[in-house]
Order: sequence, then C-alpha cells, then structure tokens
Amino acid sequence: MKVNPLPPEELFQECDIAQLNFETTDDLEELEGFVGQPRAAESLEFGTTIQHEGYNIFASGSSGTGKFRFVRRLLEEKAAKEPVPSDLCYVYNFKEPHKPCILVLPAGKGKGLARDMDTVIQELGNVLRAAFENEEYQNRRQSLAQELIERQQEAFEELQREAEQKQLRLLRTPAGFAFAPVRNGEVIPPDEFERLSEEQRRKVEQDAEELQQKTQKIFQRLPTWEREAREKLRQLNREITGYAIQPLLDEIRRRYSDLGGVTEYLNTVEEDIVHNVEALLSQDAGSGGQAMQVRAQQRLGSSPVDGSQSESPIVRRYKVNVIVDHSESEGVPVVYEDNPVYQNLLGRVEHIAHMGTLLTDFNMIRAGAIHRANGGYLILDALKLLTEPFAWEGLKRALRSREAKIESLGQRYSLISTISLEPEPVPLSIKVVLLGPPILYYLLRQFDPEFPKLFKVVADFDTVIDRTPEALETYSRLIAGIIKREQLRKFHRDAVARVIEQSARLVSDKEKLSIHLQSISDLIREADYWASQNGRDLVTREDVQQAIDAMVYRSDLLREKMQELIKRNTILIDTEGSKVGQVNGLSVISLGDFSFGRPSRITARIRLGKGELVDIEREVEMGGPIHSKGVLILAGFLGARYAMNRPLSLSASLVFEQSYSGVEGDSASSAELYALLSAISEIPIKQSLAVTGSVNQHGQIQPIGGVNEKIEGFFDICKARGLTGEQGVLIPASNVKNLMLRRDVVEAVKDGQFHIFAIETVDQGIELLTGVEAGDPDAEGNYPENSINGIVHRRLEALAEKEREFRGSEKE
Amino acid sequence: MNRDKDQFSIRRILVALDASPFSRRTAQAAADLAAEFGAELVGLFVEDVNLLNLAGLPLAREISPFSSAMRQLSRERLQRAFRSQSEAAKGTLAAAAASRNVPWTFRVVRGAVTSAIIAEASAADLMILGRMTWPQGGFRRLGSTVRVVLQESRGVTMVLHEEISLSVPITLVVDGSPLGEKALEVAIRLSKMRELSPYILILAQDKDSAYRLQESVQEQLAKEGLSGRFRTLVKPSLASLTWWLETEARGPVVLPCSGELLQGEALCTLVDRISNPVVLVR
Repeated sequence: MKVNPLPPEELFQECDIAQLNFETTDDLEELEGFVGQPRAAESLEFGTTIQHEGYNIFASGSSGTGKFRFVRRLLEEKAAKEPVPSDLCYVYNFKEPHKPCILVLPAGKGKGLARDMDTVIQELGNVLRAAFENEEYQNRRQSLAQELIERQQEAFEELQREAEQKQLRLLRTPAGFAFAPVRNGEVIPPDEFERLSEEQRRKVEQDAEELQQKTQKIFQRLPTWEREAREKLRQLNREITGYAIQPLLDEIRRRYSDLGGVTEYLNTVEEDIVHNVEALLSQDAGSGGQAMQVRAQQRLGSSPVDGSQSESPIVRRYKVNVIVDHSESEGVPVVYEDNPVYQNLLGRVEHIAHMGTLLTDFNMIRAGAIHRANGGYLILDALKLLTEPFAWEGLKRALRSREAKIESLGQRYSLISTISLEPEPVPLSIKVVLLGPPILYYLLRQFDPEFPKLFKVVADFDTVIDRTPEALETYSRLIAGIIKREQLRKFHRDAVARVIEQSARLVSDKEKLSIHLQSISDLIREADYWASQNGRDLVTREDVQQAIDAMVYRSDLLREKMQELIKRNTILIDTEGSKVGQVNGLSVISLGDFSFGRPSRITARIRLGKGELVDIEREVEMGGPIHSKGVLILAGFLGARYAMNRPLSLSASLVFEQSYSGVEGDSASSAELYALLSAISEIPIKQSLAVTGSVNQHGQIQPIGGVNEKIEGFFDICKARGLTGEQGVLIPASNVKNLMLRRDVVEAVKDGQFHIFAIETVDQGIELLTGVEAGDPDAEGNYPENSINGIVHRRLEALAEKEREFRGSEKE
Repeated sequence: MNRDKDQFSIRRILVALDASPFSRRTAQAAADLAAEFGAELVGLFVEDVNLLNLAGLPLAREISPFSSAMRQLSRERLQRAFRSQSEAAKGTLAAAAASRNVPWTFRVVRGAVTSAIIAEASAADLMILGRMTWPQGGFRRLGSTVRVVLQESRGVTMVLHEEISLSVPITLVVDGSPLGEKALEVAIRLSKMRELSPYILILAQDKDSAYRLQESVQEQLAKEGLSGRFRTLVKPSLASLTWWLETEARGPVVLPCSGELLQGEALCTLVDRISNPVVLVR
C-alpha cells in the first residue's frame, strides 16, 4: 500500500499556449457580452420581460464578479429597444396650492411646455401693461371711480344741502361727524339755544336727529358702494385680462391640443390670471412696489418663495417644473443610484431660508431615482440601500403602491408639524434590480416577509467557469476586452497564459477559472504597470509574475512575521527527526484578499481512562464547532477500529501547541488522529512531514480548503531551514485537482527536494509518517503484530486490562 | 421783473396741527423748511369753539364714519379729546423740531378754526397746514377750513398733501402778475434747498408775452445758479391749467394768487383737483 509522491505535473496545471491561437491580445476580438453566467442572464431576461407585479430582481453574487456591468449592459441593450417613457412635470394646484399636480406628458413635451410657460410669464407683464395702459381701459376705470365718488358726493351734498336748509351744519369732530345749528355761519352757543322757544328747539332737535339718521344710513351704505365699485372694477379687469391673455394662451393650447391634461391646466392658468390680475399688476409695478407685492401674495395666499429675487413669487406659480425630461432619451431609462439615501431615491422637496423661515413651492420639487427610472429600470446596491435609514422601507412602499410619492421624512414620521407640500403621486412602472451578496438575499428572504412578494426573481452569479479549451479562448478575449477598455499595453500570449494560470490558482482548482472580474482586472492593470516599469510595450509572462509577486509581497507582512517566529524557534515546529505523539498540522490564515498557510504543532498524550478524548481547544473554548466535531469523529474511529469488544480504556488529550487564537475547521483531524495513534503506539512520527486533511469514522481522508497555501506554508519553513529531500506534505487525494502550487514548490518537487503525498486513508498516512506498516486485519479481525494497528490494538487491550484490575481492586 | 433780495425772508413758520398721523409729516416738513430757512417753528392747535358750543347742546351727537354708531357728544369728553390731541400735536412738533435742531414754540388757542389760523398766520412768514383725505369719498373735496384759508390767508401759505413729497422738483406758475416776483423768490429758495431745477409754467395770452416772461425768469434763475425747464400755456383756462398740473407736475406747486385763475373759487377748484402740495403766495 505504498504511496508515491505526486509527480510535478500534478502540482500545477500550466496553460498550454498551443491552445492560444494568437500572438498578442491585439489579435483578439473584444468579447461581446460576458463569460459564463448563463443562469443569471436567463433570470434577468425573465425578470425584465415578465410584466406582473413583484417581479423585481435580486442579482445575487459575490463582490467583484462583474454583476453591475453585466446587469447594466443587459438592461441597456433591452432598454434601447423599448419606447421612451413620458416626461414628468409638476405644476401649481390652483385649488389646493399645497398639493402640486403632476402632468405626465409624452417624451420631450415637458421641456417644451415649461419653455412655453416661461414665455407666457415673460410676456404676461407686457401684455397686461399694454392692456391696462390702454386708453379705453383707463377711461372705463376712471369712469367707475368717478361713479363711486359721485355717488358718495351726491349723498353727502344732498345731506349738506338739506342741513343748510334746516339751518344746520355738518361738523367734523375728533372721532366723527355731528350736526350743529348755525347762525351767521357759527354754531349757536348753548345759552342762545336755550333762549329759543321750545318749539324752535324741538324743531332743531328733530331736524338734527333726522339728519343724523340719514348720515348713519349713508355711512352704512358706503362700504357696500365701495364693494360694488371694486367688484365692477374687478369685472372690468377680468374682461380686459381675458381679452389680453387669451391669444397668448391659445397659441400654446393649439400646440398641445391633443393633450387633455395640458388644455385643462392652461384653462386653470387663464382663470387664475384673470382672478389675480391686480396682484400681477402690482408685482409688475417694479421694485418700488415691493410692499404691494407682499400684500398681493397675502391676498393670493401664496408663499413668497423666491431664491433668485429676480422672479416674482406670483408668477412662479405659472412655471412648469419638469422633474423628469426625456427629450434626449433613447429607449427607456436605466438608472443606477450610487447613493440611495431616502431623498435621492424617492425624491424631495427643497427649501430655501428666507427671513429665518424655510419656504418652498412646487418648483422646488426634485425627482428621485424612482422618478428618473420610471418606465424603465433602476439598479441599486442592496447593501447601500439597506444601510440608508428609511430607504428600503420607502422603496418597498413605492413598489407596493405602484406610485412614487414624495414625502419628507419629517412629514412621514410626524417629526415636524409645519405645512409643507404634498405633491401628487406619480404612477410608477419600474423594474428594480438589486445587487448584493448571496447572504443578503437569503437574509432578506428569511426575515423580510415583503421581500419575496416584491423581488420574485433571483439572478445568481457564479464565480467560476470550467477550464475547457473553448473557455480558454473566451477568457483570452475577456482579457483582451479589459485591456482595450482600459487602454492598457497589449499582452503576449505567454502573459495571457500566466493570467489564466493565476485565475485557476485564485479558485484553487486546476479545472476551473475564476470569473471574479475585479481580481483579474487588477492583475492585468498591475502587469501593465510592471511592464511600463520594465520599459516594455508588450506585457510578458514575467510582468504578470512580477505583478503576482508584488501583490503577495504587499500583503504578506504577517506571513513573514509568522515564519520568522518559526525560524527563530519562538513557535516550535520541527522539520527533521521523529517524535512520539507529535505531528505537523497545517492551517490557513485568511486576511481578506490574501491567505497563507501556517504549520502548527499538534500533540497527543494518553493515560488510563474511560474513553474520553479531551480536545483542549474545545475545553478552553478556543475551538470552533467544526473542529470539535472532527475530534469527536476520532473517538468514533478509535472505538470502532480498536475497541469493538471491550471498553476504550484510555483518556487522551489533543492540543494545537502555541495556538493563542481560535481554531476552526476539521482539516487537522487526520493530523490529530496520527498524533493519537503515535502516542498510543509510542511509534514516533517523522517531523519532516506535515499533514492536512479531515478524516471520517471509517478512516477515509476527506478534502480540505486552502491546500495550496498550506503546502506552501510548510515548504517556506523547510526551505528556510534547508530542504533535506525528506520533507513533504500529506494531502487528501481528492485535493489533487486543487493543486496550483507556486513555481518554486513545483521546482523543488521536480528536484526531489520536497514531496507531496496524496493519500486516501489513515493507514496510508500513518505508514508514511512512521515508516511502519499500518497493518490490515485478518479474517478474525486481528492485526499483524508489528504493524501500527497491531501495536495500537495491543496497547489499548493492555489499558483495558489495567482498568479491569483497577476496578477489581477498588471493589475489594 | 426785478427783484429785491431782502424783499422776502422767512423767520417764523406757523404750522397748524391736529392729532392725525398726517400731522407728523406736516410737522416734519415744517421742521425741514425751518432748518433750511433758519426760521423759528410755531405749532398751533385750535380748540374748535364751534364744537364746544355744539357739545353744550342737547342734540349733540357724534356719528362714527367707520361703525356708523351714534353717541352723545359731551363737553367734558370733547375737552378731554382736545387736551389729548393738543398734547399729541405738541409732542409731534417737539420731535420734528428736535430732529432738525430748530427752535420751536407751541400754542393752543380756542376759537373758530379758520379765523384762529388766519389770525395766528398774520404774525408768521409762512403758514403750513395739511390737507387730509378722509377715507370716505364724500369728504374728498377740500374741507371748509382749507377752503377759507385758501381764499383768505395772507403772505405765504403751504398746503401739504399726504401723498406727495417735497423732495421732488417744484413747479412755479408764472402769470406776469405783481406777485410773480415773490412767487419766484419762494420757488428759488425751495429749489435751492432741494438742489433741483424747477419747472416753470408760463401762463400768457400770447407767445410773445410768454417769451418775455420766460426770458425774465431765466435771467433771475441764472443769477441764482439755477436753470428752469419751461412750459407755456397760451390763453390758459382753469381746465387746461388743472390738466397740465395734474399730468405734468410731480412736486409742490407755487402759485402767485393774484390772477383771475388763482383766486377765489377757481383757486379752490384747482387745489381740489390736483393732489400736489401747493404754496400760495400773496
């Protein structure tokens, strides 16, 4: 059952440049579309085509897989073929000013209408001035004013005449008017009045009383007369205004005659101008009429909003606020909102500070991403969306109600009670594509009951593709595409081959290639950089290798420190000799985008006991559950193999020496088993070998992750101490396909200085580690006497016997 | 037209006041003029004896123009109102005088308003009174006090209107009458005070007379370093004069009150129709 070391060709899958039919990347056509992702493409196609409610899409995939580019490109291709959606405009609501109305107009018409209304605003002053300065109007107005004056004068003159006839005079008093009897133009003094006969006095008093009552009646009628006069003047103003502005508005009406909403809006504008012409004329009076403007605003009940100071708040109401303009759009919009805060997403109403207060009007309504994307597609980063307060809830509400309603957070949550605008909601027809990692999708699915109703389609993005000859060609074109898009130096096919090899290394699989576009793009860019540093116009394999080495160098400070600790015997790792109950295990330390292997000394000690297998890591809560599981499997293996017919009468303890942080994973379980078997059998283990691989209860070795890093980690230590030709690593046979080792490791193997053993069973492993035969059981289940299994069997039998004796002596 | 420089001087300005808000502007305008002319300011408040007499009668009732309410007008209430109004008027004058640092006195007299004002005006070089417009259209015409003052006052009288400022070019009406010289002097003093060239409206029966009047006035203005803007009305009527002043004059109008158009009822009609302050020169 001898296990031979793996040949060098098993350790690294070179890219066969014979399969690359080009000299440099310039010879390649840029790849249209993307590599792989057929499942995601089909999901997106389905999600964007189906027109039922809730069929929004969650594009699930790891960061850097090119989801965003993939989704956007696919959506843009689709969007270009669809009809351009409508423009969205807010206009003044003349009935309820705080609820601006939405006008949905055919693409491009919004801007046109806004321009037309600006022209109306510009012309309004001139048109009205011309009409109201007209001689006819002035005459009619003066005539009305004169009519009132004459009416009043007539009444008072009649009163005064009557008073004179009755020898009375109307006098002005400090607070009003009074009638006094006069003689020779002077009021009769009281004593003279007393001298009049009673009849005369009564007559004067009666006359005065009569006149007083008439005066009262006149005073009572004065406001009515003035009101009537004002109403007549208003009627005249309306008549003149209507006449003046009708041609101006008719021209626009003709232009939008097919749009009922616009016609209706223009009718209300006309009506409003006619009703508020006095205010409009007041504001038109120029800067001197500032106070009148304010009065006019108060009459109109509008807020004096004016950021520019040049635009009267009265005429701002006739403007058209185009919040979404598609005049230059082709197809439906594809919008990506990079900063999906609530306001950016759902729109907002801006305010300006004016005299210490915040003011707004419908012209300050701003569209959110859902407005801009209405009729088309909205792409959002799920994590950003979820981390922005209220944004996710706001988006769901909009999708649920199928309308885009602009509300400030203050309004929505009643944080402020001041009056603000309540813009009319916009009917929403939109497909939202969320981009996020799979974990986010699963969490949302599990914990947000609305999520499955609103995002029914998941588009899963893979990170690897099969390394087939066809894929190599596609991959080369993908590389060429990145080079062309980023205007980098062309790559020699050797360089492309090295990129492909590194791609396989990234996924630790000889048979797969990474489509983590971010990593590949970074490598290509950095290789281009090193080529420029090396004075080359063509990127070579060496430049790519330099880029890889530089990347590693930039990240491996910790690895270096760790290895230094081992080399200086601060962390004790033997790479020569043999020890009982001690084996070199291998673990991986991951630093985000960089991982490295670290050898660890694993030791086992045994004593008489009751079958307990003490995992010291677990006892001190430094071992994770998977690690603990691995250790418990060992107990299962030992019991099944060596103690079927008697109790397992030993206690064993296992430990990762000099481990000061947690241990997780079961990749060291085979190493722990070897240490245990060595401790039981007292047969030493070669320290020149390191071990990785998990084990099951039947003694089969199972695959682990990070095999390349683990091998390289042990190799680096051995190399630093000097390769002896005895050193090597035992790996699970099922991990051979994952081997994409560093060139120096492969070279050492080629030179016979280092060995990689692929093993399938514990027996194969223990034989390699001890140099002693493991031993197969005979028909009766007995192992050969001098085999490892035989020795272990005997030792356990002896321990069981001792335990029996011990128990017997206890009973006595 | 010759002019003696010492012929006209203003040493004492009489300003008739009541408690209305408009009185503040009248007092301020009077204080401004007093400061310019180096004159003393005399405030006058008249307790209308006719009203006091009325208040003693059993039929005395006051009707409010705002509420139409009628209430008994008692002597005590009236006297209290007079005291209060005179105090307010005095305060107004004091504030205006203090703002221009001019000497001032204040008098309260009891009598018939018109005759009291005219009597007090005899000791002043310039009398100023306000012509207030009441909100009721029926009283928009000149009140009887102003009408009598317009016709009977002597010397120089300024009737202010609440809507027109003095800080705009004045208009002098020149009709070739004997008072023309004094009117020109007043116009020059007022124009120099404001550093604004006056408008000169020549009233003449023919173009030659108009030309001669213009030449004479031009000469006088030039001596004072002023230039005038001239307009002419040939064979003027009350209507044409009123129309011209209504449409063209923006500031105070100086009127020499000796010609046919600028005396008696015609003068009252003219002043009634225009809304400018007027300066009557007699």
